[in-house]
Amino acid sequence: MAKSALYRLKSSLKEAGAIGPKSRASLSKKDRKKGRPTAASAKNDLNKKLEHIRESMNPFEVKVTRQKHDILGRKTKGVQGNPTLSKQVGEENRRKTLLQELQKKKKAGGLVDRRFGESNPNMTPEEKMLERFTHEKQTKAKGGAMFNLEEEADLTHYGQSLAGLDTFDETELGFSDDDEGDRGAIGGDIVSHSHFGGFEEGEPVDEDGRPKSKAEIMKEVIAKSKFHKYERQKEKEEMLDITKELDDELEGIRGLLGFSNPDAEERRPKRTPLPSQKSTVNRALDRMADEEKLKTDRETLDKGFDDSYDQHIRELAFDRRAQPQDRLKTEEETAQEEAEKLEKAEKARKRRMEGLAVEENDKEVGGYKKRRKALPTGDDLGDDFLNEDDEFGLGAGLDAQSGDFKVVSKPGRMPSKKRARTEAQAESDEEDEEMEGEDEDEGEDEEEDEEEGESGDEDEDEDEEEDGDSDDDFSDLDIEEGKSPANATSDDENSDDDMNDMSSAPKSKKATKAGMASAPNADALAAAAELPYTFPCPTSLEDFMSIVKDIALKDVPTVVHRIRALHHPKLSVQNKEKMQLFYPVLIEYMMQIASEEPEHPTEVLGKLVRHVYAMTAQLGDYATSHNLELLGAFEEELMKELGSATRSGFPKAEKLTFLHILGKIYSTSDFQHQVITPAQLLMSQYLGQCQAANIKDTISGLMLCRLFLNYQALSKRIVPETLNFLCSTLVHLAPKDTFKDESSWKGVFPIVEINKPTLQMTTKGLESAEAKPLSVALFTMKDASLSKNIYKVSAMSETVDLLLNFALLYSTSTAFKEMFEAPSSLLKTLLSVDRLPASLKTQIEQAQDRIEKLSTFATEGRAPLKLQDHKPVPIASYVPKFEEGYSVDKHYDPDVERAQAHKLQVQYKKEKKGAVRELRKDAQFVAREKLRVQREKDSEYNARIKGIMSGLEADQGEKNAEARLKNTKKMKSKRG
Amino acid sequence: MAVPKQARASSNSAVKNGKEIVEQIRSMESQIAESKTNLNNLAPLLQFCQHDNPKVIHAAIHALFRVFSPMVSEGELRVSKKATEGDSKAAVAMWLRENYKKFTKRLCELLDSTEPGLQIPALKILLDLVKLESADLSRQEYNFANALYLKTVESLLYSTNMSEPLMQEFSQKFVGFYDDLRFYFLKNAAFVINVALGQHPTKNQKAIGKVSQEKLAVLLDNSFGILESLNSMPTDAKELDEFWAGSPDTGASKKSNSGEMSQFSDSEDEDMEEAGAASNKSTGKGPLLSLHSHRRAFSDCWIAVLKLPFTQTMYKKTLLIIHKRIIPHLPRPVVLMDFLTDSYNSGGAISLLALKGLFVLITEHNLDYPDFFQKLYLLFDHNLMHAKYRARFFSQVDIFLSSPLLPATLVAAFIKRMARLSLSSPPASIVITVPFIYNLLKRHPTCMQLIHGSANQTNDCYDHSERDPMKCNAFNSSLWELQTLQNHFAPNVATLAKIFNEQFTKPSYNLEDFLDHTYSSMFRNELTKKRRGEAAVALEAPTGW
Repeated sequence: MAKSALYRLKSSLKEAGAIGPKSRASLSKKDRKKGRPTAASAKNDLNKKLEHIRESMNPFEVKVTRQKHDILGRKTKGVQGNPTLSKQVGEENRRKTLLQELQKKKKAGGLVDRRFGESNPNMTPEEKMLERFTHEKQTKAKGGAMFNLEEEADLTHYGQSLAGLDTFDETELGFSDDDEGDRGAIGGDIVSHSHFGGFEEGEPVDEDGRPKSKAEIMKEVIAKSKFHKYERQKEKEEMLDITKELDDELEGIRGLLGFSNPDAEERRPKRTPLPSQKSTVNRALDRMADEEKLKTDRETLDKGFDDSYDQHIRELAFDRRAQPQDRLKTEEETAQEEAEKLEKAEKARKRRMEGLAVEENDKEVGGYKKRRKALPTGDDLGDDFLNEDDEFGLGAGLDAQSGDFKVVSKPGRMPSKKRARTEAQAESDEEDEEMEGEDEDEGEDEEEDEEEGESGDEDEDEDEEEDGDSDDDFSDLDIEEGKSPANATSDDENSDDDMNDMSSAPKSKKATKAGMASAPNADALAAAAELPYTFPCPTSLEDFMSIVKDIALKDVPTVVHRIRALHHPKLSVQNKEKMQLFYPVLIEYMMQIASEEPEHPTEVLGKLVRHVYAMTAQLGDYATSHNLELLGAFEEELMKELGSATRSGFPKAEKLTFLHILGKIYSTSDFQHQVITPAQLLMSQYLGQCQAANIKDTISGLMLCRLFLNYQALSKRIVPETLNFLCSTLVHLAPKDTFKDESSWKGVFPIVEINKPTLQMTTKGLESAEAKPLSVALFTMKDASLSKNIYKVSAMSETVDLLLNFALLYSTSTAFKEMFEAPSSLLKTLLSVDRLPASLKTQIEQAQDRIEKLSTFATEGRAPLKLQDHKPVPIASYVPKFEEGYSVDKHYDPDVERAQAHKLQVQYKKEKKGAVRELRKDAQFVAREKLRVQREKDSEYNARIKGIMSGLEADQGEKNAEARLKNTKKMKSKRG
Repeated sequence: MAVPKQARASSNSAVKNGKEIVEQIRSMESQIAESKTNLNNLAPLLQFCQHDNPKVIHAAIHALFRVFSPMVSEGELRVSKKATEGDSKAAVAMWLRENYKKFTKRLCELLDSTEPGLQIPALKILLDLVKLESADLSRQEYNFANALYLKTVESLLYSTNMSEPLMQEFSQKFVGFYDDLRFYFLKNAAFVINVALGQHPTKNQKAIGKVSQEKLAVLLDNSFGILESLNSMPTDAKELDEFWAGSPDTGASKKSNSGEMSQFSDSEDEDMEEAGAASNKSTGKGPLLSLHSHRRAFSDCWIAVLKLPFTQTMYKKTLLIIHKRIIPHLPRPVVLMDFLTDSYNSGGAISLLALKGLFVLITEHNLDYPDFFQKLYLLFDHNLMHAKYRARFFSQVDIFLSSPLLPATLVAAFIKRMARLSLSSPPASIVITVPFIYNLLKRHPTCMQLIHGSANQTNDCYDHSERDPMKCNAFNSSLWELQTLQNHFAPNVATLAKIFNEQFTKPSYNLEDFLDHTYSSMFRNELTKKRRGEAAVALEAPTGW
């Protein structure tokens, strides 16, 4: 509520001191006498204040807009305004800006007053002068010399200052005293004696004391000068030699200094900088760009000059300084780093196992999830239920199957296998021709080149290793026989040597001399001594078979190792494609030897799978696509075989080998894995849909179960198909009439046929049959020989073992009892069969006992489910939202975007209004000004015209007067 | 006679190529067309019908058809009863009739030929003759030449070489299209089958005894084949508007004219004749125009077919179409009751399939079926989850259990049994059962204690081997199986099983979305999934095999 005008007047007067206790009137006479701030000083002040108050209190200056309706809680602006004041302010501002512009309009030139302090009203004239003076001095001191003729100029000749010549130091005349001996010029004494009539002073005397003749003296002089000249030349040559030596040495240490050797730079693959290094690297790159530019500039300038030295100098000047290398890490540090890395990887694996996103894209996924999983509220209206198709990623089911199936491949990254093959084949053909045409020397040359390249790269590789992305460098080659990369990276020296022995033979020999190699390493090297060192990169299995045709199977890993080293993707860009072609070849080869060799080559496969592992990590997406394609082909084959009546569909050695490889190279514990998930689905399909027709099928199924056991060793997920298969295998293998129908066991598992004569054990000689471990090699045997009891007993033993293992694996799951009810009862029934071999019987007994115990343990521990222990869902509320301290002026839009847009709109409108108003006022001002100018002009003109007219009138008046005078005179003369 | 001799000679000489014979046939045909005197050419033409070369047969039957068709339509083959023995005209007519009979017989034989190129023309000619005969018979009032048609149908049904094109041709273009052909086919087929089974209630049963098993199998195959592809059964009397042998509504027959029909029939065909003609007498309106008589024929035919000895596959096929293609067209669907109950009780896949038909009978035709739920409960056996028809089965069970008025004990039993079976199921089946259980729990909140119990018993009190769902004590159990499935190896299944941990906010899952999955589809889905990032490799390089 505004105070009354009188009240305001009073209070402001009081403040100014015109009334109240501090006013002059209230001061006592004493005080006044005492010289308190008295009239003389205070009166002017007070008057000023009063003037001000008077102005501000003038009610005619204030404009009030009356509100028709007083609205609570709304702040209204501009109720009270001071139009004259604002007008005045606006006018002032325009005068300062607009008027100036107006006056300068259509005028090109003009004088700007830049004198110091001229526009500053706060400066006294003295200060102004002082300022000007100092400035003048300063400018003189700075750049005034250029055109200053008074000061001494530096004269030059051919761009060289002549000022230095004054001393004549550099001339060959040798006038200076201090270095006469050194310079070898004519000595001061000679000059003093023989020049310029110096010889008059006294005759020079020779050894005998007789004065020397003039000729003698001149000879001496000549000899001396010759001697000096010779010395100078010698010195110069020495100097040159030293320089040359220095230059040569420089060449040697250039690499160490890290100068940019242009060709080396090109050969070396650009490494990616660390984030911390990025800024420095950027700077360096900038500098390099500059350098490049300068270089070209210079080159255009001094073309034709043979100036390798200058070039070197320039390079030196522009080159990067040698950077300090990171210090080598201590053993503890590397060990700790290794441990950290492992820990991190393990953490990531665990996250994947739980089906959580790995941390890198955690943020994004988390955000997405949060939005999806938000609890529905009353406002949702259930819209979100409609769009939730395929929430569980189940796919479209059978409907979608009609369309052609294709493995999704990332465009660009992975070229279609066939295309790549043809391209590379053409390439390799060319290469082959070259290879044939030239001798082995060529290969050696290549090796040397590589060696060089690598030695240049060494420090960089180390850097990268420390960066933690070791998958990109040569460390993946460090899988020399029986050594894990962890070991390899732990000792740097070792890894370096390994790396070198990959690429060149002499070095590998050195390594053996140094006694670095362990026993298997030595073995491999012995083989290596006989094997050729270079191989073309095979593009098909036939190629590879022709390479390894004459090579013992145990040496094949070495061959693969060499092929990989020789065609390492780091060495050339094409090598990546070659490796992409080699990858399927290697896998195919492994599948082949696993299925065809009479004795299962476990050791070789173990070594080869390490290569596959490294290549999988190296090739990334390509490897994934290839493996998926292969799985797809398996599945298609299975579907065909399921359709046909003759074949059971169970996988044979090759497919089992491939699935085994997958389990080795990929992280099988992941909740969802690009390769492992489909592989497991395929395996479960084998187990679930194929019907075992003979013992081979049973063995194949058992091997699949074993694979599942390995796959799930960490994550312990449930695979119902394995248990089903194992149970039905028990039923099928059992001697005739052990199980009659489904009521002979407890629990559930699907079974179509109970009696399968081809699988049942025969009673003849059953007791003496001993169980043997099953192996893939059995697949090469004939069906008839496999149907012996011994294999059935082996299969039974394997089944029981698998059941026990699965029971141990699943021992923590809540439905353990339900899952293992059937196996347990089956094993119990089997125990009652008399004729089983004793060892098998004890195995069964132990397994049954164990499972029984686990079962009771699992049931004891479990409690009824409490899955719905959630916080209760709040009932959706329909009460309108109530704002505390609501204001009409505020906008309570819950939609942030809309609110912001509205705000912007309002702001825009306001600004527009203001701008229009201002422009209008500007126009008015301009018009006013123009009018004023016009009026001024007019009045000036009028005044001038008036002046002229008055002058003319005066003249005319005078003329008239004169004429009148004449007339009167005439008249008078007439009269008179 | 010179000409037949020549013809016989030519037919005997196998060296003579087919083209010349075809030429010869042409000329003979034109000779007959020129004058009646050359009628003797009929005999060699008929001889040609027995030729080895299919082309010759083809030409011959067409030539004969062209010769006979004007005669049939002009009634020249008719033998009036008044005609005397010595009448030469009557003698010619008799002779012609003999030959005509031979011709039609040969045509019927040709239906059993191995050559589809002959089967179809033979069929067409036969049906054309049926048309012509009917037109001839219908001069005074509408009549259908069923005698010939019956023969045709009979030979078709007994045909051991039933080819796919012939089946297609007959069922799609003729029986499927023309209402009269369909009607008479159904009647004739029922008659033929009943005769074959020796169950025809006519006086001369002795005439045709029981047929061999193989023949019955052929009969079943053919009749089922045709009936299966028959999908044009009318649902309204107005739809009866396509007739092969003229429209019957011009002169709805009141009076039997079977006497006239005898002109074409021999004594041995009499009972067939009667079967064909009988229908004409009974109805007032004319059977071809009444929907009821069509349905009746359909029903009779199917019942006759169902009497035949079924194979397992045929059984399944029948059950697959029974609810859509058969039941709606039966005048009294309840006649299928025994068939369906027997199927339902037989167990296995057949039970699953019979369920649908039974369901239709129960819901739409007031069939009372005691212990329905108990039997349904027992259908959930160890092989169910692996059966091919599980999707179909579950979609029906969804309907059966959709009532919220079912006792919670019963529902709990079903839930528990499904959960138990899921433990040994393929992923595709788990994917069905999990949303199914969710829907049941949502519908019967009392059953929520299965996943959120309060009693602190550890042992499972559920008895899986109990046959009565009300006594198996599932209600006090807990679904540990589902918790275990949350750790299934297939990520989709595991994620799906986790819905029981979430709030039950979703009203229900649409079961249709979950039915059509198989190993293959899930595998393909995994393969074609868009890949994000690179596949994670093993933590450590493998050490050894």
